[in-house]
Amino acid sequence: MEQLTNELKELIIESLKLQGTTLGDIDNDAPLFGDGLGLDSIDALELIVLLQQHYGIKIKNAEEGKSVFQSVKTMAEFIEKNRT
Amino acid sequence: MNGFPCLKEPVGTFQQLVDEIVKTKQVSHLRLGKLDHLSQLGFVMSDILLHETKPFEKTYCFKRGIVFGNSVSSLDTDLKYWESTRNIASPALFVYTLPNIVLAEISIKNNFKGESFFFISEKIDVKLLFNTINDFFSTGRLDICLGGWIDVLNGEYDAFVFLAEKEKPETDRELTVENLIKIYNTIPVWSS
Repeated sequence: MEQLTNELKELIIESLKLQGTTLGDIDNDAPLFGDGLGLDSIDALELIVLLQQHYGIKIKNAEEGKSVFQSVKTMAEFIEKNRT
Repeated sequence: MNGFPCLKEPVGTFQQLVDEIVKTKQVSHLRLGKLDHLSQLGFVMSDILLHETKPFEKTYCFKRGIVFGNSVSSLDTDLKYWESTRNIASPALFVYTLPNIVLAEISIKNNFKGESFFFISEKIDVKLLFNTINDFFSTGRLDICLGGWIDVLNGEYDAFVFLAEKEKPETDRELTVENLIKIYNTIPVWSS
Protein backbone atom coordinates (compact mmCIF):
# COMPACT_ATOMS: atom_id res chain seq x y z
CA MET A 1 0.00 0.00 0.00
CA GLU A 2 2.86 2.38 0.78
CA GLN A 3 4.26 1.92 -2.70
CA LEU A 4 0.84 2.69 -4.19
CA THR A 5 0.30 5.81 -2.06
CA ASN A 6 3.74 7.13 -3.03
CA GLU A 7 3.08 6.40 -6.67
CA LEU A 8 -0.30 8.10 -6.38
CA LYS A 9 1.22 11.18 -4.77
CA GLU A 10 3.75 11.45 -7.59
CA LEU A 11 0.97 11.20 -10.17
CA ILE A 12 -1.13 13.79 -8.32
CA ILE A 13 1.78 16.23 -8.14
CA GLU A 14 2.58 15.74 -11.83
CA SER A 15 -0.92 15.81 -13.28
CA LEU A 16 -2.19 18.69 -11.12
CA LYS A 17 1.06 20.64 -11.60
CA LEU A 18 1.60 21.15 -7.86
CA GLN A 19 4.92 22.93 -8.27
CA GLY A 20 7.11 22.87 -5.20
CA THR A 21 5.07 20.08 -3.54
CA THR A 22 6.95 16.93 -2.45
CA LEU A 23 5.70 13.49 -1.45
CA GLY A 24 6.37 14.39 2.17
CA ASP A 25 4.08 17.43 1.92
CA ILE A 26 1.03 15.27 1.21
CA ASP A 27 -0.41 13.52 4.25
CA ASN A 28 -2.16 10.25 3.38
CA ASP A 29 -5.19 11.15 5.48
CA ALA A 30 -5.39 14.89 4.76
CA PRO A 31 -8.46 16.09 2.80
CA LEU A 32 -7.72 16.60 -0.89
CA PHE A 33 -10.37 19.33 -1.22
CA GLY A 34 -11.08 22.35 0.96
CA ASP A 35 -8.40 22.25 3.66
CA GLY A 36 -5.37 20.03 3.16
CA LEU A 37 -4.26 20.16 -0.48
CA GLY A 38 -6.96 22.70 -1.38
CA LEU A 39 -7.81 21.21 -4.77
CA ASP A 40 -10.72 22.52 -6.85
CA SER A 41 -13.36 21.15 -9.21
CA ILE A 42 -11.05 21.09 -12.24
CA ASP A 43 -8.55 19.10 -10.18
CA ALA A 44 -11.35 16.66 -9.37
CA LEU A 45 -11.90 16.08 -13.09
CA GLU A 46 -8.17 15.58 -13.61
CA LEU A 47 -8.16 12.98 -10.80
CA ILE A 48 -10.95 11.11 -12.57
CA VAL A 49 -8.80 11.14 -15.72
CA LEU A 50 -5.80 9.97 -13.66
CA LEU A 51 -7.71 6.93 -12.32
CA GLN A 52 -8.86 5.97 -15.78
CA GLN A 53 -5.56 6.55 -17.53
CA HIS A 54 -3.22 4.91 -15.02
CA TYR A 55 -5.38 2.31 -13.30
CA GLY A 56 -8.17 1.58 -15.78
CA ILE A 57 -10.86 2.57 -13.28
CA LYS A 58 -13.95 4.65 -14.07
CA ILE A 59 -15.87 6.55 -11.40
CA LYS A 60 -19.54 5.55 -11.66
CA ASN A 61 -21.18 8.68 -10.27
CA ALA A 62 -20.67 11.82 -8.20
CA GLU A 63 -21.45 10.02 -4.93
CA GLU A 64 -18.76 7.46 -5.57
CA GLY A 65 -16.32 10.20 -6.54
CA LYS A 66 -17.01 12.09 -3.32
CA SER A 67 -16.01 9.11 -1.17
CA VAL A 68 -13.07 8.04 -3.34
CA PHE A 69 -11.45 11.47 -3.47
CA GLN A 70 -11.53 12.25 0.24
CA SER A 71 -7.80 11.61 0.68
CA VAL A 72 -4.82 9.86 -0.87
CA LYS A 73 -5.57 6.91 1.43
CA THR A 74 -9.17 6.52 0.23
CA MET A 75 -7.98 6.79 -3.38
CA ALA A 76 -5.35 4.09 -2.83
CA GLU A 77 -7.84 1.77 -1.13
CA PHE A 78 -10.26 2.23 -4.02
CA ILE A 79 -7.53 1.50 -6.56
CA GLU A 80 -6.46 -1.65 -4.69
CA LYS A 81 -10.05 -2.93 -4.78
CA ASN A 82 -10.85 -2.03 -8.39
CA ARG A 83 -7.76 -1.82 -10.55
CA THR A 84 -7.76 -3.72 -13.85
CA MET B 1 9.12 47.93 -17.01
CA ASN B 2 8.81 51.60 -17.96
CA GLY B 3 11.80 51.19 -20.26
CA PHE B 4 13.99 49.45 -17.70
CA PRO B 5 14.71 45.71 -18.04
CA CYS B 6 13.16 43.42 -15.43
CA LEU B 7 15.70 40.73 -16.19
CA LYS B 8 19.32 41.13 -17.24
CA GLU B 9 18.98 38.93 -20.30
CA PRO B 10 16.67 36.34 -21.90
CA VAL B 11 16.38 33.09 -19.94
CA GLY B 12 16.13 29.70 -21.67
CA THR B 13 12.67 28.39 -22.55
CA PHE B 14 9.37 30.19 -22.09
CA GLN B 15 8.69 28.30 -18.85
CA GLN B 16 12.17 29.07 -17.55
CA LEU B 17 11.58 32.74 -18.33
CA VAL B 18 8.30 32.78 -16.40
CA ASP B 19 9.85 30.89 -13.48
CA GLU B 20 12.77 33.34 -13.37
CA ILE B 21 10.46 36.37 -13.42
CA VAL B 22 8.31 34.86 -10.66
CA LYS B 23 11.39 34.26 -8.53
CA THR B 24 13.06 37.62 -9.25
CA LYS B 25 9.99 39.79 -8.91
CA GLN B 26 8.30 37.66 -6.22
CA VAL B 27 5.07 37.22 -8.12
CA SER B 28 2.57 35.37 -5.99
CA HIS B 29 -0.03 32.91 -7.24
CA LEU B 30 -1.08 29.75 -5.42
CA ARG B 31 -1.01 27.57 -8.52
CA LEU B 32 0.75 29.46 -11.32
CA GLY B 33 1.88 26.20 -12.94
CA LYS B 34 -1.75 25.27 -13.45
CA LEU B 35 -2.35 28.24 -15.74
CA ASP B 36 -1.69 27.92 -19.46
CA HIS B 37 1.18 29.87 -21.02
CA LEU B 38 -1.02 32.77 -22.16
CA SER B 39 -2.47 33.20 -18.68
CA GLN B 40 0.92 32.78 -17.00
CA LEU B 41 2.50 35.50 -19.11
CA GLY B 42 -0.42 37.92 -18.80
CA PHE B 43 -0.73 37.28 -15.07
CA VAL B 44 2.98 37.67 -14.34
CA MET B 45 3.34 40.89 -16.36
CA SER B 46 0.23 42.43 -14.82
CA ASP B 47 1.32 41.43 -11.35
CA ILE B 48 4.69 43.12 -11.73
CA LEU B 49 3.10 46.27 -13.19
CA LEU B 50 0.46 46.54 -10.48
CA HIS B 51 2.98 45.79 -7.75
CA GLU B 52 5.38 48.48 -9.01
CA THR B 53 2.76 51.18 -9.67
CA LYS B 54 0.43 50.48 -6.71
CA PRO B 55 -2.58 52.15 -8.33
CA PHE B 56 -5.10 50.90 -5.77
CA GLU B 57 -3.69 53.09 -3.08
CA LYS B 58 -5.69 55.86 -4.74
CA THR B 59 -9.19 55.71 -3.30
CA TYR B 60 -11.05 56.36 -6.54
CA CYS B 61 -9.86 53.29 -8.41
CA PHE B 62 -13.01 51.24 -7.89
CA LYS B 63 -13.87 50.51 -11.48
CA ARG B 64 -11.03 48.35 -12.74
CA GLY B 65 -10.91 46.74 -16.15
CA ILE B 66 -8.71 45.02 -18.71
CA VAL B 67 -8.38 45.34 -22.48
CA PHE B 68 -6.01 42.81 -24.03
CA GLY B 69 -5.51 41.44 -27.51
CA ASN B 70 -3.42 38.99 -29.46
CA SER B 71 -3.12 37.38 -32.87
CA VAL B 72 -3.29 33.67 -32.00
CA SER B 73 -6.14 33.56 -29.47
CA SER B 74 -5.66 30.50 -27.23
CA LEU B 75 -4.09 28.42 -30.02
CA ASP B 76 -1.08 27.46 -27.88
CA THR B 77 -3.40 25.72 -25.41
CA ASP B 78 -5.86 24.57 -28.07
CA LEU B 79 -3.07 22.53 -29.69
CA LYS B 80 -2.04 20.99 -26.36
CA TYR B 81 -5.66 20.17 -25.58
CA TRP B 82 -6.10 18.62 -29.02
CA GLU B 83 -3.00 16.50 -28.40
CA SER B 84 -4.46 15.34 -25.07
CA THR B 85 -7.60 14.08 -26.82
CA ARG B 86 -5.54 11.31 -28.42
CA ASN B 87 -5.73 9.63 -25.05
CA ILE B 88 -8.14 11.24 -22.58
CA ALA B 89 -8.98 14.94 -23.01
CA SER B 90 -7.53 17.03 -20.20
CA PRO B 91 -10.09 19.15 -18.29
CA ALA B 92 -7.27 21.33 -16.91
CA LEU B 93 -6.26 22.24 -20.48
CA PHE B 94 -9.82 22.57 -21.72
CA VAL B 95 -10.64 25.40 -19.31
CA TYR B 96 -7.89 27.51 -20.90
CA THR B 97 -9.08 27.07 -24.51
CA LEU B 98 -10.43 30.61 -24.52
CA PRO B 99 -8.04 33.59 -24.62
CA ASN B 100 -10.07 35.72 -22.23
CA ILE B 101 -9.39 33.35 -19.32
CA VAL B 102 -6.19 35.34 -18.73
CA LEU B 103 -8.45 38.31 -17.93
CA ALA B 104 -10.25 36.20 -15.31
CA GLU B 105 -6.99 35.11 -13.68
CA ILE B 106 -5.85 38.72 -13.35
CA SER B 107 -9.28 39.90 -12.22
CA ILE B 108 -9.59 37.31 -9.45
CA LYS B 109 -6.20 38.17 -7.97
CA ASN B 110 -6.69 41.95 -8.14
CA ASN B 111 -10.41 42.30 -7.50
CA PHE B 112 -11.24 43.61 -10.98
CA LYS B 113 -15.00 43.70 -11.48
CA GLY B 114 -15.31 46.19 -14.33
CA GLU B 115 -15.30 45.86 -18.09
CA SER B 116 -12.98 43.37 -19.73
CA PHE B 117 -12.36 42.85 -23.40
CA PHE B 118 -10.10 40.54 -25.42
CA PHE B 119 -9.72 41.11 -29.13
CA ILE B 120 -8.00 39.08 -31.82
CA SER B 121 -6.23 40.81 -34.70
CA GLU B 122 -3.40 40.01 -37.07
CA LYS B 123 -1.09 42.60 -35.49
CA ILE B 124 -1.32 44.74 -32.37
CA ASP B 125 -4.15 47.22 -32.94
CA VAL B 126 -3.08 50.21 -30.90
CA LYS B 127 -6.00 52.34 -32.11
CA LEU B 128 -8.48 49.71 -30.95
CA LEU B 129 -6.74 49.49 -27.57
CA PHE B 130 -6.79 53.26 -27.21
CA ASN B 131 -10.37 53.76 -28.43
CA THR B 132 -11.79 50.99 -26.22
CA ILE B 133 -10.04 52.18 -23.07
CA ASN B 134 -10.82 55.82 -23.83
CA ASP B 135 -14.47 54.94 -24.33
CA PHE B 136 -14.59 53.12 -20.97
CA PHE B 137 -13.06 56.19 -19.29
CA SER B 138 -15.23 58.79 -21.01
CA THR B 139 -18.46 56.89 -20.27
CA GLY B 140 -17.49 56.45 -16.62
CA ARG B 141 -17.37 52.68 -16.83
CA LEU B 142 -13.77 52.47 -15.68
CA ASP B 143 -11.35 54.45 -13.49
CA ILE B 144 -8.33 52.34 -14.28
CA CYS B 145 -7.52 49.88 -17.04
CA LEU B 146 -4.82 47.36 -17.80
CA GLY B 147 -4.13 47.27 -21.51
CA GLY B 148 -1.90 45.05 -23.55
CA TRP B 149 -0.96 42.56 -26.19
CA ILE B 150 -0.12 39.00 -25.09
CA ASP B 151 0.82 36.59 -27.84
CA VAL B 152 2.18 33.12 -27.01
CA LEU B 153 2.60 30.15 -29.33
CA ASN B 154 4.97 27.19 -29.07
CA GLY B 155 7.33 29.00 -26.72
CA GLU B 156 7.53 32.17 -28.83
CA TYR B 157 5.96 35.25 -27.28
CA ASP B 158 5.31 38.93 -27.84
CA ALA B 159 3.92 40.70 -24.80
CA PHE B 160 3.30 44.30 -23.83
CA VAL B 161 1.27 45.52 -20.86
CA PHE B 162 0.48 49.05 -19.69
CA LEU B 163 -1.68 50.70 -17.07
CA ALA B 164 -3.96 53.61 -17.94
CA GLU B 165 -5.79 55.81 -15.44
CA LYS B 166 -8.77 58.06 -16.06
CA GLU B 167 -7.24 60.68 -13.78
CA LYS B 168 -3.72 60.71 -15.19
CA PRO B 169 -1.01 61.33 -12.59
CA GLU B 170 1.06 64.39 -13.55
CA THR B 171 4.27 62.46 -13.86
CA ASP B 172 2.84 59.85 -16.22
CA ARG B 173 2.65 59.91 -20.00
CA GLU B 174 -0.69 60.73 -21.57
CA LEU B 175 -2.71 57.86 -23.02
CA THR B 176 -2.46 58.46 -26.77
CA VAL B 177 -2.04 56.21 -29.79
CA GLU B 178 1.37 57.77 -30.46
CA ASN B 179 2.64 57.12 -26.94
CA LEU B 180 1.44 53.51 -27.00
CA ILE B 181 3.17 52.91 -30.34
CA LYS B 182 6.34 54.52 -29.01
CA ILE B 183 6.38 52.34 -25.89
CA TYR B 184 5.59 49.15 -27.82
CA ASN B 185 8.36 49.83 -30.32
CA THR B 186 10.98 50.33 -27.61
CA ILE B 187 10.45 46.87 -26.07
CA PRO B 188 13.58 44.72 -26.66
CA VAL B 189 13.03 41.66 -28.81
CA TRP B 190 13.96 38.41 -27.11
CA SER B 191 13.34 35.03 -28.66
CA SER B 192 13.46 31.72 -26.81
